[in-house]
Amino acid sequence: MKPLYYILKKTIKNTIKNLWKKPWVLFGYILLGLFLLFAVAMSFLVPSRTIGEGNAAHYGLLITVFLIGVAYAGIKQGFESGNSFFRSADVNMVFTAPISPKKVLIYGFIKQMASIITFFVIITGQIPNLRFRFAITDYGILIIYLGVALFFLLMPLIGMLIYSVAAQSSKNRNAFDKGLKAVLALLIISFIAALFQTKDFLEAAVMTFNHRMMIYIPVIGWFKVLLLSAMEGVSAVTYLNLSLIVLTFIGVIYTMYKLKTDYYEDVLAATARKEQLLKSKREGKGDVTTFHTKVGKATQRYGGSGAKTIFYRQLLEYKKTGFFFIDRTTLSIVAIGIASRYLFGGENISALLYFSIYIVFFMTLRGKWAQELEKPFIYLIPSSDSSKVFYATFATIVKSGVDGLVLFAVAGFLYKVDIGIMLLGALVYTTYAAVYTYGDVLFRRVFGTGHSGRLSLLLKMVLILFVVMPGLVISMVCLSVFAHVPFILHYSYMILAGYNLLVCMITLFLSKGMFEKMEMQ
Amino acid sequence: MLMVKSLTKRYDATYAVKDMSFTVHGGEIAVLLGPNGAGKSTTIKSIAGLLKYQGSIEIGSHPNKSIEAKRIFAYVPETPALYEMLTVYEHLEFIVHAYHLENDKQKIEGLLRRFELWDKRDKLGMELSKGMQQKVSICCALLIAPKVIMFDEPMIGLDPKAIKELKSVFVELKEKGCSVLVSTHIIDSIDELWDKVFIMKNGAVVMERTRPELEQRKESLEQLFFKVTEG
Repeated sequence: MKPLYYILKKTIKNTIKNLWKKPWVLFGYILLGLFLLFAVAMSFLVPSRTIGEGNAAHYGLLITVFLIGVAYAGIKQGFESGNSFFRSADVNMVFTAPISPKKVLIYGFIKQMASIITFFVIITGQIPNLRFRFAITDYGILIIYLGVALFFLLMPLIGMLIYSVAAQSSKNRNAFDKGLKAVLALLIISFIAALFQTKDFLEAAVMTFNHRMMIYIPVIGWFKVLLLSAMEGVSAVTYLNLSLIVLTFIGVIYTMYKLKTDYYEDVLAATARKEQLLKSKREGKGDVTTFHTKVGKATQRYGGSGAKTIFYRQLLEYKKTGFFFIDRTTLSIVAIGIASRYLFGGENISALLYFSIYIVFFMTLRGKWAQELEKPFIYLIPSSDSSKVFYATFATIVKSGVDGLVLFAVAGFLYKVDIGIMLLGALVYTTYAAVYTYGDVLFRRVFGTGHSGRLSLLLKMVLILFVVMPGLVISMVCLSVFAHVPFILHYSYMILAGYNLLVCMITLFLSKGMFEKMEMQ
Repeated sequence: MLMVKSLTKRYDATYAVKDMSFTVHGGEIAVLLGPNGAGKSTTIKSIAGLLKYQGSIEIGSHPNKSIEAKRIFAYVPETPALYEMLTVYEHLEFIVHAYHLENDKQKIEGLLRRFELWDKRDKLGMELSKGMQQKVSICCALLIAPKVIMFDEPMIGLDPKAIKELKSVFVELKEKGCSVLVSTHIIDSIDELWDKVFIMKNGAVVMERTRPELEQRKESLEQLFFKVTEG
């Protein structure tokens, strides 16, 4: 194990040393650390709801959906493409070194433990919120940490094991696929049946996911019991389920360790994919989901030449992964629309609008425009800069328009607002997508592209917040001062859209000569 | 004609390329040689208009970032970058429209057959091996029928048949009066083809020779390279 510990030790040491060379990143980490300390302190300081106040059923629903979601993704990835604790450097240097694969597995496991820190950050940020809503005890916080850590350690292991079995034959893979689909279908049917019975989304979800049989599902059920004890208190049942989890760990590791030591081949493809995902993430690049996207057949007539071709090509790509501009993102947006009714109380559609303009920021930055700049074609095409910028961003904006229409059509129906608000909501949503897109264009024009992805994202967020804030303030002031004026909500949306269009025009004007200043990374 | 004049590219305080000048005339195959880190890729990317720089670069008497220059210029990057969700054929179709070319299906078919891609024409960019992607990249560049073409390490990842085809493509381009610039550090791969060589070291062209000049000195390209870069 000595050389493997050497890698771990040196990696940690060099990472810390490297931070001194990047003061901005160090500053970011210090801020994050302070935030975590604050969140941890708040977790214990925030008075928890009492058992009577906190809705135990909702807490149960929340953790079940979380567990099922993560397990579903882990198992699906497991039999489709496997999972990996390793990086390409490990494949090239550790796998080929005279070190026992068993030791290498332990090394991978230790590395995986480090990656769980990310989930701790997310969980830590959410605990005060959980305590505010539910009756989580002080030691319950520690149970949540323990449960989540164990779950995120166990799932990749299960994923690796599943891949080992699934990779042996297409029959095995199909069996996993069918099994998972059957479980999913069962859940959906139960939910629909509950929906017919209760006529309420939330109640139906509680009825389905808090069904008494849920705790008997291996792994998910055991973790559910463990996490529930953060609220209900520790009992013999908690220890029993914790023991089952530990036994599962031992069983899976034993199987990997003793029976299937030749796992190197199984993790190769997953390692390559992980490497690609990390690279994209590090560079703040766009579409990291391509690997999971099913690409269908489609044709596209090019209705123009030059820069227009970029738009038609992007349209062709959208057609291959969805129905014109309607794709998985649109479905996620619809889910947000439906969920918002319960999250925001179902009375104020503006809350959904504000939430969606936050979400669309991240969606826009993952759009086609960002991907376009990663390839040399856009720099080489013989067309003017302005036409290239216009046509390379056009599809992203049209897509946002379609997503906005779908979102506000569904939400409008749930919130029972008139068609004018639905259309204006969609328009505002689209104009924000345009502001973010052209803001990104201007950002690249001014600051270039050679910065770290995270730093760029942070800077963009701050600058864009600064740019959109006046529009939001004006609109909100109008909304409160002229609250009695008929159709004031309509007018406030119009103000937002108008302000954003003005910002877009100014931004586009300032972005002139884009490709003179841009550098391809 | 490709003309690079006083090209300088700096990353913070480090000069990747400093005050570099050279010309590749029509009907000439020029080779940019240099050890790793000499500044070849920076030079190539600056010529392709992918980087900001100081100095001037002209393609057919037009500034390299002008539309006129782009119309007659083609570039085969070192790492092929294809659209994951476009098929091989759709890439060429895209180029036809982007460059306002005539939709000559026979020409497309001819190119794809020449590089053994015709039976792979419906494969997606993400389904291709690196070598295949490189071939698509070459076909896209050749479809433009450029007056100036630049290849960055074009042989890497190609199979022997494709290397042979590419070498004959170099000669054909030369015969048509095209300026060809090839950046490589595999001297053997271009030994029998080049007309002019630029040897780079530490961000500058430290030696420029034509083939007759070298033949007169009875020196091989490899000998010259090591003399210049290690001397």
